[in-house]
Amino acid sequence: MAEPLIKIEHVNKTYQGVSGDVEALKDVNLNIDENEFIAIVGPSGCGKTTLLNILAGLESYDSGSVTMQGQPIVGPGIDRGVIFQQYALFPWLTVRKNMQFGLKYRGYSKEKQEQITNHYMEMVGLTEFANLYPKELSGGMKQRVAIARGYATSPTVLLMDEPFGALDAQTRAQLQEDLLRTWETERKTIFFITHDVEEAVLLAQRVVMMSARPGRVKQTVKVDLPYPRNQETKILPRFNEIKNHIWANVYQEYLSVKK
Amino acid sequence: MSDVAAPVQKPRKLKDFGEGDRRLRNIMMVGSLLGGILVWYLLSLHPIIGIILAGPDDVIKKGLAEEWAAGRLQKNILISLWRVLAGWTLAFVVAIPTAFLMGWYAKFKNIVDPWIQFMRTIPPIALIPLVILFMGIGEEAKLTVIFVAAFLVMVVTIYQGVRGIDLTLVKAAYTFGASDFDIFYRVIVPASFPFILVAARLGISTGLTTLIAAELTGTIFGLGNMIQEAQLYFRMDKVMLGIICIGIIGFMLDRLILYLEKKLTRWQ
Repeated sequence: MAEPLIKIEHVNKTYQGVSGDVEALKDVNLNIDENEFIAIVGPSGCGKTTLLNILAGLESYDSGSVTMQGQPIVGPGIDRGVIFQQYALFPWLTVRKNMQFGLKYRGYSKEKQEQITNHYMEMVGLTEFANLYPKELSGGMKQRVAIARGYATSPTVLLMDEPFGALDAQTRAQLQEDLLRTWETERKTIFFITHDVEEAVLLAQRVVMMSARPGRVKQTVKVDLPYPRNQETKILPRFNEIKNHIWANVYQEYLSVKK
Repeated sequence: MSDVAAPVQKPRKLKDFGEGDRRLRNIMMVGSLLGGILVWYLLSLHPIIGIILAGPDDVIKKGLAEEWAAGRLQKNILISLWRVLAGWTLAFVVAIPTAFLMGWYAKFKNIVDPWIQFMRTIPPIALIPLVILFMGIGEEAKLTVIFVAAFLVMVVTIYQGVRGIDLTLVKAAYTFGASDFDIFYRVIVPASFPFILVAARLGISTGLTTLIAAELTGTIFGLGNMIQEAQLYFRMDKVMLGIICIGIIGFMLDRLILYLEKKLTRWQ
């Protein structure tokens, strides 16, 4: 078997708070393979966003090791793209300029930048919106731009932090399908955080359940449903079997948090 | 029709906080100004009030005509305008880097902030005796007073803009491979731009109010001085003229910056 792309080993992270310390992550171990679509589910406060931030290099950890392709992760890098729930589009830049923000750091020529931008804008159906500012777009369109922007810099892995969490059900379903199509063609490694179990099962090859306080990996479930998937995949008995299994586990965690 | 329901009670009209029809709004605003001038005129006709209050006709026929013909009004306006703009420009140029440094380096902010907060509560006019002692009564003194007042207002406003930046944008820029310097000039600066324009507007009006006060302390030119002198000779027409000129200048400068704001921050 090939070496995993990302190795998370015995990672611990504690936040020092005014009202005492909070153990965000405790002995977290996880391997992520190249080209894998992995989803993380768990109740709020289970440290999933902390884990994503550590992978992104935006947060430090207290002990353990996090490596990507054998190299320790010590800070943000263009090999790891992040999609935030709140889109994080630069409001003073048009869609096109937003797309190009990171391309500069790839060292591409102007022509290459234009070419890549056009390609990805077309892929997510943004071409006619190229010269609009983010405030002129709907939430779904904004997240489309953010995702296209994430792909444009061609990172090795895309880290997505509840990217569809703020969208309405219809838009969410549509963007899920778009993401599936993109992943099926590009097979780029995706680390996807969500609190929606159904979404996790629909998208990912593997779903990681985390427990709350301290956050740790509780269980990992392989989703053995064939790709291409779409919203109809949800009707399959196997889909519901896996979903219910995960849901039961996650629900236990919700209850334990409430206590 | 026969099955029409009985008339229901008309729904209550809720306050919508809209500005109403644009044309009607303009008519009302112009009407309000004209009405005010009419009230002013009628008041000035009153035998007792009229002694103190020069009417609009006096201001135009006597005050304006006299001062304009002598070339004094033009000169006073230019001098006051120059002082406001010079002091304001100086303050603007210093306030921007100061606010950015405060936002970027917490240590710098910790050292500078108590002084800014302390100075902010002092009316700039209270500084005038000190300023005169150290700088005399020349132009430097006037510019210093307006500089201090405008600077304080602007630095606080811009700093708030720098602080209020959406940290997700900073994170996003970092993940694209931006350096600290890139974060500064590709994220912090554009994100604070609207606040810089708001600060510029506040700075202008602060500068104008402070400058007129500063002029009252000793100069032979400027609108503030014109008002002061007119008061000595009980020329209320010229006092009113000075007040109106200052108001118009303030209004026009404000509109100019507002226009720039609309042009430059369309993305907002």
